[in-house]
Parts: sequence; structure tokens; C-alpha cells
Amino acid sequence: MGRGVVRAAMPPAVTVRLFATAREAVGRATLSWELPPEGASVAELVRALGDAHPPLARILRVSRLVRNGHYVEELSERLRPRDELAVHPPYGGG
Amino acid sequence: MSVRLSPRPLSISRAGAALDAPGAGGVALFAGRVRPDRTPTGTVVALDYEVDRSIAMRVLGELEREAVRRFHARAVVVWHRVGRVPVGEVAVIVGAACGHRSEAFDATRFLIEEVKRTVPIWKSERGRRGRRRRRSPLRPAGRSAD
Repeated sequence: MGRGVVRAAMPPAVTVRLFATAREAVGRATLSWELPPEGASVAELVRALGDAHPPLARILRVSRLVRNGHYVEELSERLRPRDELAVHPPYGGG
Repeated sequence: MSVRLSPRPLSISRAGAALDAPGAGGVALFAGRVRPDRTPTGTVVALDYEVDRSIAMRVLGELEREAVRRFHARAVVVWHRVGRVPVGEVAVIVGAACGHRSEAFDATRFLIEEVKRTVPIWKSERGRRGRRRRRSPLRPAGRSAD
């Protein structure tokens, strides 16, 4: 993603939900990211998140992503305003 | 069939009752309890479980259906605690009622391994004096409850 393509700001935006180590790395459970008029891919948003929150970058590399309730299969998927993207670090139930 | 994410204590006897399927010749049940592991930040007194509930319930349902399909289970239990679980309490119960013991054992093993691998649940250890500890963020959390 080019610099400034995805910016933290006002709606219409993508809501990012953070769990476990991802939440702890950022210090918040949710983030809101404004999309540029031309839109952005999941990969671009992930890169922007890592740039904005360096402790989150290495967690993102091993996390699964869930977009609107479905696991992301291709990072090239285009995001839409009001999408919700959840960051799932490696699971540890049981 | 039964999947559950609960902040309340899980009952092994109730899980057993839920596996009372007519015609099942083999019933297996696994319960994972929180251990008082010693860690660099002190002895574990509880585990805090966090969940992405909507996704977790869907995945649990898929595991249940897969156990039926793969092992011909006649009844399945996949229960997991969420929130704080003190040492000694049950954090997870899985089980299956099948035609024969080998299928029941296999189904139960399948369920617990898949719960740990595929269900969006995370845990952190809580020690005395309230100190929290999560193991490497790049690997699944510890194994204090199995």
C-alpha cells in the first residue's frame, strides 16, 4: 500500500477487531480505519496496521484474518466501507 | 449433539448424560482441567479464556458435524469455558458416543485436537498477585489445561 492510502480517521471506515496478543500489542480492542476513495485490499490494510503499530506487525504475520465473519482466503480481497476485519493470533484453547 | 461456550463451571456428569445415545456401544469423554503450573511469574492460579464467540460457535458446530460424518458419532459434546477458570476446574470437555470404542476414542481425540487448533479461543495465565502471563505471541498459548 502506498503511504496514506489507508488512514486512521472517520467513517466510512473498516472496523478492525483485535484479540489476545494483537489487542495487547495495540492496547485497544478495536480500531477504525478510513478507506481511500479507490478502496484498499486486505493486504494493504494489514501493512498499514503494521506500520502504525510496530508491535502488531509480527503478530499479523502469523495471524488468521476474518472478514465479515469469514476467514480471509486471499489477501488481495478488496475491502468495503463498514467491513469488519478480525485479527486472530494463533489459537490456544483447551 | 451439544456445543457450548460457557462462563459457568462445566459438569462432567452432565456431559456424560448428554452422550447417552441409544445404541452407542462406546462412549469416550475427555476433560481438561487447569493445572497449577509453575512459571517464571509464579504459580498459575487461573487461566483467562478469551473467545471470538460468533466464529467459535460456528467452528464448534462444524467440528460436531465432522465427528458425526467421520466417526459415525451418535452423540457429541464439545464444551469450553470462557472467562476466568481457577486451577482445578474443568476448562474443556469433549466426547463422543459411537458404535464401538475405537471410533469413540478416535472421535474424542479428533475433537480435542481440533478445538485447540481451529477454534478462536486464547488463554493467558494468571498467577498469584494478579500477574498475567501469555506465552510467545507467535505460538499458540501454553498447555496448562490438558
